[in-house]
Amino acid sequence: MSGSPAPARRAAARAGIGIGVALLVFAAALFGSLCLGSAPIAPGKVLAALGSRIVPGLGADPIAVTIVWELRLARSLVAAVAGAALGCSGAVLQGLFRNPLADPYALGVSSGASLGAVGALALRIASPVASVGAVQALSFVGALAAAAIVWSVARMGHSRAPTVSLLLAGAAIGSFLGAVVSLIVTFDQRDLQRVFFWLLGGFGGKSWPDLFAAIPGAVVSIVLALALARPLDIMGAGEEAASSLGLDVGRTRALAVSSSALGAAAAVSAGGVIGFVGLLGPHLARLLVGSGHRKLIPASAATGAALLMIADAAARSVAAPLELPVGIVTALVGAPLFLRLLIRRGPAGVEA
Amino acid sequence: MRAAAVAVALSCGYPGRTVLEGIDLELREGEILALIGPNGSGKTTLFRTLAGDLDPIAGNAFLDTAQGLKEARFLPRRERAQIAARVLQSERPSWPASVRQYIEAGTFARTGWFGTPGAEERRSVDDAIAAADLSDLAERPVTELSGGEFRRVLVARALAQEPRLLLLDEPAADLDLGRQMDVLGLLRGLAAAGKAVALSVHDLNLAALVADRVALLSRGRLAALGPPREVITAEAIASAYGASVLVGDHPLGDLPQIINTPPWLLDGSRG
Repeated sequence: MSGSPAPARRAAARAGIGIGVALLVFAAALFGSLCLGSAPIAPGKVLAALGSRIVPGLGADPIAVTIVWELRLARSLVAAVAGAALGCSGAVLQGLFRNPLADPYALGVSSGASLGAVGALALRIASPVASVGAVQALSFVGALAAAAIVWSVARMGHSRAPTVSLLLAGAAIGSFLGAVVSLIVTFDQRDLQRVFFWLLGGFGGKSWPDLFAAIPGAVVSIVLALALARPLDIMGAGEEAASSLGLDVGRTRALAVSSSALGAAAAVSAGGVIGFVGLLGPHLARLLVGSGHRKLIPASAATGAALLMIADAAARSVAAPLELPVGIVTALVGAPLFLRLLIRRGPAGVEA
Repeated sequence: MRAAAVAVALSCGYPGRTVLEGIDLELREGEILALIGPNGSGKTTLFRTLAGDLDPIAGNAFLDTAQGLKEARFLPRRERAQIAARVLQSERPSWPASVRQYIEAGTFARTGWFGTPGAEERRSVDDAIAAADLSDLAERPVTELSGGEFRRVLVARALAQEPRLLLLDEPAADLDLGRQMDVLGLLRGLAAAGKAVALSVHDLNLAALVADRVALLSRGRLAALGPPREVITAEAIASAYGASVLVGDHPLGDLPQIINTPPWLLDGSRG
C-alpha cells in the first residue's frame, strides 16, 4: 500500500476523536437532563433510579424512579431524537446548498407542520392511533406535503438552477402556509394557547409513545443521510463539476431533499417548531470532525441531540415550576451564535 | 494517433439556442488542442457536449471506450467520467476540505456511492498530487489556496479520474505569468505521457506556445483547424475577433506570436 502520509492519518485520528467527543457530549447531555428539572435529583440518585429497573433489587428512591423513568427519560429521548433529526437534516441541506447557513426549515417544512397541527386542533380531529396525537400525525403529514409541493414547484419551468429554485419556492410556500395558519387562528381562537405553545416548541408531557412515534421518520432520515455522505462530499465542488465527476446530481438532490424533509418533519411533529438546532448542530460538528460528510453527518446528529436535550433541560429548570417553550430557549441562545457565524463567515459561507 | 473523442457533424447549444453547427473534430492522444475564439463563441459549450454533460442538438459526440467509439450522451455518467475529465473555470470550493480529500473526489467514478477509496485509488490520488506538484500542500485546506494552487488541484483531481482525455476551461486565466507556465508545462507533460488534452484559451500567444493544433471557433462554426502557424494568421484573427494584429515569429521556435496593432497606433495618434 502506498499509504497515506502521517498528516492524513493525523487528520483521520482528529476526526475520530471528534466523533468520540460528540458522543461524550451527547451522553453527558442525556445524563444532565435526567438530573435537572423542577425538582433536581442528585446524579447518584439518578444512577440508582436508572439501575433499579435494569437490575432488580437495587434499592432506589421510588419517587426518583418514577420521575426519571416515567417523566424525564422518555422526554429527554424524544428531545434527543428530534435534535438528532434536526442536526442531520441541517447537515444534509447545507451540503446540498453548499452553504453552512442553510436551515432544515428552508423547504417550508415548519409551515406545513404548523398547518397540519393547527388544522388538527381546529377541526377537533380525533387520533386514528390512540397512543399518538392527531396533532403529531397531521403535523408530520403537513410537513412532508409542504416539502413535496416545494419540490414540485421548483421542478416546474425551465429552471437552470433547480437548487436555487428550491430555496425560493420554499420561502414563498412557507410564508403562504404561515398565512393560512394565522388565518385559521384568527377565526378560531378556542385553542389559541395550545397553538401558541405548539408553535414555540416544547417537550412537556412527552412520553414513551411519543418517542416510538418519532423514531421511524428520524431513523429513515438519518440512514438516508449516511448513504448520501460521499455524494454530498462530491457536491461540494458545485453541480457541474460533480456531474462531470460522475455523480448523478438529480438523484442526489432528490434523496437529500427527502432525507432532510423527513428528518425535519419527524422533529417538528415530535416537538413543534424549534429553531437553530439544525444550524448549530452541524456547525459544532464541523468544528469537531471537519467538513467530510461521512463523519459530519453522525456528528451533527449527536450534537443536535445534545443541544436539544440541554435546551429542554434548561427550559424546564430556569423558571421552575413554570416551563418555558424550548423554541424560545434555542432562539435566545441560537440566534446570537448564528449571527456570530454569519459575521465571521459572510453570507457565501466560506470562511473569509 | 488514436482519438479519445470524435465529433461528427456536431451541432451543440441549449434549447432554442444553437451555439455551434457542423463541427468535425478529433481529440487525439498525446496531443494538445487549443480551442480559441471570441467570448461566447461556444468553447465551453463544445467541451460540455464532447464530455456528454450536454446532449448534442444534431450530429454525434463520441468517446473512445473499451468497446470502441460510443456516443457520449448514452454512456453511464461514471463511465464517461473515466474517459473524459473536465476542469471548470468557475469552480470554487464550498468547504475547507484538505487538498488530498478534494482530489480524492476524482476517484468517485470508480468507487461509486458507497465505495471507499482503496489502495489503488489512493495510489492514483498520490500520483496526481505528485504530477501536479502539490505534495507540500496536500494537507492544506483548499479554501486557503491561491488561484494558481487551486487550479493545479483541479488538474490533479482530473488526473485522479484516470481519464484518457482532459477538457480544460481557461486553465491559464487569472494566473500570473509564472503560474501560467506552470500549468501549461503540466499539460505538456500530460500530453507527452499519452493523454489527449484540450484547453480553451483567450491568450493566442499561449495557445501557440502550448498547442500542437489550434481550433478557431467563430460565428457558430469551426472556422479553422490545424497547426498554430496555419490557424493564427492576421486575416483569421481580424475576421474572428475584429481586431488588427501583426503575426510574427517566436525567437526560439517556429511558432506564431501576435502583436496587437490597434487603430490608435496605426493612425499615429500615439507612439
